[in-house]
Amino acid sequence: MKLYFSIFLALLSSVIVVFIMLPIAATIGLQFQDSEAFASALSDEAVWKSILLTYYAALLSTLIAVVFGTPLAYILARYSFPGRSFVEGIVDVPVVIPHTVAGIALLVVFGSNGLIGKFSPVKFVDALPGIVVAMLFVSVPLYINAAKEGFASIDVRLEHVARTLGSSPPRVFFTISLPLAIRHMAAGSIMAWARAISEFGAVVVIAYYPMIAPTLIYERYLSSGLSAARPVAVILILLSLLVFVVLRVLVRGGNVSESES
Amino acid sequence: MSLKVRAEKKLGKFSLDVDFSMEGGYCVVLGPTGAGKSLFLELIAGIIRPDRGWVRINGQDVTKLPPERRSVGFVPQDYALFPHMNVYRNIAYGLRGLEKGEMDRRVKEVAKKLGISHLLDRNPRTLSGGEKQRVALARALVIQPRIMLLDEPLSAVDLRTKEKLMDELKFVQSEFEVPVLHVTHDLIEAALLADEIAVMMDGRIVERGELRKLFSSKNEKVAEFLSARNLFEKLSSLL
Amino acid sequence: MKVKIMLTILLAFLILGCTSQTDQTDHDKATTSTHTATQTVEQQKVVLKVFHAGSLTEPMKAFKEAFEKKYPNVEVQTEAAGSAATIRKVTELGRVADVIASADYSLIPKMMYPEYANWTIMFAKNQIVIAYTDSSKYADEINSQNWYQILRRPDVKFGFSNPNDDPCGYRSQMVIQLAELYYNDSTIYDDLVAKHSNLKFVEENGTYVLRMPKSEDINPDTSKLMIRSMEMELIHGIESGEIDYFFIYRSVAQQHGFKYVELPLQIDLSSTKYADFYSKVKVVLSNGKEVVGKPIVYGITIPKNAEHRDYAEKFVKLIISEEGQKILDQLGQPPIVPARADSIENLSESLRGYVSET
Repeated sequence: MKLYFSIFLALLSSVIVVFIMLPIAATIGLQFQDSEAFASALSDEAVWKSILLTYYAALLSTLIAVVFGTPLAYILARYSFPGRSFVEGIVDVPVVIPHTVAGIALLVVFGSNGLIGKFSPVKFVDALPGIVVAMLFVSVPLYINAAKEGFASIDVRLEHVARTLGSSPPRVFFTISLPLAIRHMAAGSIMAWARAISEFGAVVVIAYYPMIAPTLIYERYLSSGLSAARPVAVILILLSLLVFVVLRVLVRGGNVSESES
Repeated sequence: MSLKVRAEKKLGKFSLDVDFSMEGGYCVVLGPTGAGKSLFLELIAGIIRPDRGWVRINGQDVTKLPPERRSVGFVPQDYALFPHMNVYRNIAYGLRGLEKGEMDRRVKEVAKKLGISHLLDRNPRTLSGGEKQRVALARALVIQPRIMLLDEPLSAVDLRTKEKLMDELKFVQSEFEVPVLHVTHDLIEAALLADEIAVMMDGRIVERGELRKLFSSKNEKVAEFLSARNLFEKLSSLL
Repeated sequence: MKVKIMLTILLAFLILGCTSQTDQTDHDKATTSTHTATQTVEQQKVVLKVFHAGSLTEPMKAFKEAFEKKYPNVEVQTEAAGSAATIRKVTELGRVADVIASADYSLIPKMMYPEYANWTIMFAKNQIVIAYTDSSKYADEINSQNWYQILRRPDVKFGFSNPNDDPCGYRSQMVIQLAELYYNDSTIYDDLVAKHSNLKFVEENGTYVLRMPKSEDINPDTSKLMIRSMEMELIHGIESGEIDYFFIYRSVAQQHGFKYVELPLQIDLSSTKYADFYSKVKVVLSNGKEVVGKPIVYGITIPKNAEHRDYAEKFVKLIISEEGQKILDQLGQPPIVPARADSIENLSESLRGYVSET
């Protein structure tokens, strides 16, 4: 019986793994049959410019998410207050909104005549800040939920003891809660950053220019077709995969050394 | 030293309503699970605030003071050692603001008294149950608290260790000359450790005094809770 | 937990509700969910897939409605995208469509012959206008004679779609360049576009040629120009006040209730009478394809690998019949009467009666 169950588990698991891997592997594999186009994309300055811009904007968006999202995550994990479920609901909303709609909603707020855009000295439409707000909107729930889970997983008695040992709430936060949640926060940041990199729908509404990599890929597809878009996509996939693996190893590495020391 | 508590706190359906005082020594609050014992300690430590009433330590009204200004030593159940710090840093945590040499001296002194000097570099995760308790005690004692609050300190250890740890707790109380308020559901602990026992049920102190007095309690609930006495009689008749 | 989920959904609906009126250009996703719902109820239904240019969204809705009324067992699923992207779905992504409609009929022979199709029916015309709203700057001043003076003003922002991606985009460039010839003012294109981007017309043997840089190199000054991939995406721009004017098909402007300036026939690419004049301008797209100025003519075809050829023919017939012409007319898009076909011999019997040969 036990063996059957193992086989059953393995079967279902491999279906989903193959489901994820196949399209990516096929895209990359097909590209290697056309290494000339790949090489020319590699030496195309516009490709690198757009990828760099994407990573940079995603980094900014993630930093903002960490600075403003961490306190919120802590509050949601630690305190119960009237309207808490409402706030938690708000945080999750970007996950369920179609991204084009998110882009339009952001345009209404950050456009030149928008609620905020009207008074803002910073220009959002077709500019870097626009890309960043669009990325932030779609990716911040991932960070907040991960950080919230991190804070919630800390035994609240650790914080209580720290208080009785003479620490004020801010000191408890920085010496106990934050260090203990840091791995969740790091994992959440990576997810949020990745989500930001992959965003297209919301960004393209508010900022078609300057072109981020997903826009450039779409653009190449529209104007010159699949064979022109794919090399750029493959570069983005491979590079992001690399960054991901490195970050994951770093995060996990911290984990291992801590439990052993 | 004196501790006086006269306070009410409502938490959902449960309500804590205590009238308690102690003058030093080793006091054990005995009660079944869910009687509100942990809540009682948290009230004294300042982690929760009463809806009504007050807490006085040495005559000072600390009701409105936050935990960090009450100078009480708190050892929660399972000890709550900081997992991201080694033993040394756990003990030194409460000594912020002291000059480094002085801090070091105090940490080593308390560690020596509790026999954990050799553990200072260790990660809390690698300690045995007894070692953990000693570190938790050291961490609380190093700030020279006015009272030690121990929440079920012996609940997670086997009988043999328990016996050893009980000796240690007694030692702590006399060596550091600090009053101890120890809450537990275990009659043996209470019987062996306490100078004085208070019985807590449904959020209230219903009986207090020496062990003998409790066994003759007229309170039905107390009598029922203590009925484990029969078990002891059976056990001793077997030996 | 349940409360949280319900709140999330509720909030999502609220926000969707606030913005959904403006969300009409969600390209590639135009099949609405209600259709799929009915589909699951009645498994027997034939699903007729129609891929069409974004600017045909409104007429297609009307055709769909009329067609489904006539053939209740058929469900028409429409998918909007740029014309080139629409065709690529079939030729490159390997998707199956029963009907393809393009905003530039010539894309069909160029991109689909001979492998994917062998005839094109030209069924409707259109013209380029400048759309605006009441809150656009100088809305009370602009008319078909002074429009380029208004657009020149430094505080006016306007938009057009990306010429590389969208016929409406390169046609807008042609219109502005033709204006130079028509008004005999050689600074119009420079002032409106060239100064604010990398786009530039150069005269080559009497023809004015715009060689498009790659999309990422268009480099528009975004404080003057708003460029989006598709013309429909500019609608958000004008509705949110981001831009004051944009170049768009007359039909779209009318369907969305925008005000619009009609341009002189000589430059608005609507009239076969001025075909020669239009052909003085040419755009070379970044992918190397050349498009010469010519009247805007919409084309439709049935791909060779269509799944439901019989219903597809009935659908095309509806569009080129009197009923279809009426629908087009009402939506601000002049039909071609009678529709014309490039190779009648490849048409099925049932359609031949409705077309004349070009």
